[in-house]
Amino acid sequence: MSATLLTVLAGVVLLIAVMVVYNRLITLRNQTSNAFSQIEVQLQRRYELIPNLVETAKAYMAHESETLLAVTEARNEASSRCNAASKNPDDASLIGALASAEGALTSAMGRLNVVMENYPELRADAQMRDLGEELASTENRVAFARQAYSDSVMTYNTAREQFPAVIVANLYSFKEADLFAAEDPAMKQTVKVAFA
Amino acid sequence: MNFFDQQLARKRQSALLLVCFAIALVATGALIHFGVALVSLLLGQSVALFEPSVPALVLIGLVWTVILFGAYFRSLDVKAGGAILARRFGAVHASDRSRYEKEQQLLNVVAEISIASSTPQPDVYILRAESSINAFVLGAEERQGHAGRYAIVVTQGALDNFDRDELQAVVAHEFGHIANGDLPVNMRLLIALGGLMAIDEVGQLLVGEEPDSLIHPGVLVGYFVIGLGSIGVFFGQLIRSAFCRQREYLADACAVQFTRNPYAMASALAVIKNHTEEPALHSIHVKELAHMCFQSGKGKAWFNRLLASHPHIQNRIDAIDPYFDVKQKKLAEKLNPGDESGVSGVSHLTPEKTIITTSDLPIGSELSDSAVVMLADTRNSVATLFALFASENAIKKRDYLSAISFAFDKQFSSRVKDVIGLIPDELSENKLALIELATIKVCQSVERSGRQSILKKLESLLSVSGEYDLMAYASLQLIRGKLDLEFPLIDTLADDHFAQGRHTKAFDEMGSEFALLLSLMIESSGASSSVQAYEFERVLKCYTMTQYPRRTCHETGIVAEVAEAFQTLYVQPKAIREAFVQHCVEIVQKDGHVARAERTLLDLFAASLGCDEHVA
Repeated sequence: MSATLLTVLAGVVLLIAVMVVYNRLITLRNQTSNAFSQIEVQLQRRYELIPNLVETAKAYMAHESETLLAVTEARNEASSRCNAASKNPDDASLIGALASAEGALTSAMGRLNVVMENYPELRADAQMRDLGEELASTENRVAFARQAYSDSVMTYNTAREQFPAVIVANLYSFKEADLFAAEDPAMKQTVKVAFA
Repeated sequence: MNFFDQQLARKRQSALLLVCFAIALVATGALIHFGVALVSLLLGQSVALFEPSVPALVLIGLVWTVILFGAYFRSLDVKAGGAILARRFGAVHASDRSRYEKEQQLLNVVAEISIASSTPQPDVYILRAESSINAFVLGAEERQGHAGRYAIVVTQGALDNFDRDELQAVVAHEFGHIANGDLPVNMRLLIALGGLMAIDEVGQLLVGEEPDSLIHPGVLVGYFVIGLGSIGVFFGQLIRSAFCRQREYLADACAVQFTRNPYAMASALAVIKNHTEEPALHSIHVKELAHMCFQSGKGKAWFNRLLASHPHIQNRIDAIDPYFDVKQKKLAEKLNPGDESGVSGVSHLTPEKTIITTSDLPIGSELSDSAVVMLADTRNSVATLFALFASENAIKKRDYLSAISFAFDKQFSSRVKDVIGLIPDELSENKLALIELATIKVCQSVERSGRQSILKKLESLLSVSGEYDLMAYASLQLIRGKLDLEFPLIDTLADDHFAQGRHTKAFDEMGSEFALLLSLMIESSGASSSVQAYEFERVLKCYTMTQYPRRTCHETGIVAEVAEAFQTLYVQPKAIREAFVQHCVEIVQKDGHVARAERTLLDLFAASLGCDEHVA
């Protein structure tokens, strides 16, 4: 009598424990996917801003069409890969491709920034100043979105790998989340500045 | 601390708050009872120690009603959400596409941090009239189903004094409070304090900021009400100190987690530390709001430290980065390599010291000995003032001198002529130094009325001789300032019957005046035309949205317009005038070279607007 009651009681406690752990993992996983979509939103914002920047810069630096072209191409490449990645969010290779395209865009922008130093009139342009603040803010937003994503991935992965949770996680196939990192070592290097 | 612990802690704190509030009410009643008992003892009546008399009961009832109603109305505001609360404290909504660069920056920063902290974006409000540096966050408690809407409030002083990174750190600190779940307790505390301090605030309102007379009945009542309210303030502060000050450290840590920029956080705190003359907040609600502000000023005395709502700023800096002072010094040395002391090198990071003064601009070469000796005589000094306006053209000079002999006498005219002959180079090259020295002598030995008549004579002479160009006007105004005379002295400007009415304009309608003065200032800077155009647009944007054309000093009738513009500007609040002079100083210093015309014009602007201390 008491043995069956004890078994039932233990079963109920186990069920509740599994439920709590499962719900916590679900919450954390949704938080990571939300954080990732936030990166996409901010990247799109950046892609929309870059053509404006290039248009404004064109008026002042006609001789630097190569740099501007490189920025535009890198932007288009990154934009299309971002769209592809957002359609298949589970595909890790697409995210890796996006990360490397982003790296290329960042270095192209870095080069553009260096070149722009030589055009004081451009930096003095009123529209350019507004764009400058927008761009600085967007860069911050992209960086913060990635940071928030990394933080939430870390929280999720830690929760997933800890002892009682790891059983539940494997039982219901909670996959490990990926960090948004540049895979290609060439993309990690800093922008080189050559003085002609 | 996990979620359940936090909830438990929150419930415990709310219960503690309720108990404290009840104790404060009872204690207030007891204090009033004893006060009344003391008065009746002095009047020679018998007193029952534990039985409140009728007047005491009435007073207690009144005070309790005010406290409870104050708390009730505050709780209604809190329920209505952060935006309503922010407006209640006098903040205005920060608009997108603002014409102030800083406001746009604040909105961007808030958007950035809300991404970094994965929090929904709050409304942004600005306390425009606050020159103190502070920020706080308001918000309704989370209700069943949907999260409360938050509002982050930043003072204008914070916008003016922080750079982008520091602003980001402060905003992140406020987001730290949201993320740590400090808001529910903060809001309950706000309700309790709102009630306890309601009486004090009524008293403050009655007394006003600077009472005109101490014996006005309203002011006297105000002081009585403040005295009554001080009981509530005392208990309010006691309650506040019962709540954990560790939350501030936690919010600072969260801010660093969001921005990953501890240096900016420490530097923002250092800016506040160096702003010793400003209180934490000017608002009369300061006592209610202190517990959730970014900073609460500095208390030196031990009881201040005991009752303070925030830890000491230096402790907060040390907690973030113990070596901050060293790093700041190193950075300052790197930026100003010539600076050896290091201590003064820090000044570039503390905004109140970065006010640019023109005192380090070159005044021009020294005067020759003959000029100095000559100016030791009062009559010669007056003559020099007149000689300054003599033309180089021989015919015009003769006309000018004969006009002087007509206005005064032959003797004075020949004296002026002698002065012109004696120091011809200094008169054209070193006007500023001459004016400086001559006016000092005149001020010492001529009475005010005498100086006024000198200035009037000069003014009428100039308008007759037709030599009244911008530089002459500038010199005249400078002399006016140095002779310590009132601004609207000059008759010809004031004969218009309606002049006075026209000169009191609202700030928004003064775009054309600003445009005129700025274009003259920029024109004298001698920069390239594209830089001039850009500077003009940038600075004008700070004052008006309307586009005004640039003016030049060669237009006819410009002097009268300039004079009128100065009169219009002169009656504006000092902050506006100072900001304008500050902009002019920036324009002048832009190219690192200060021409004589620039310097003269700048001195004129500052003197005409009564902001001389910047140019001292």
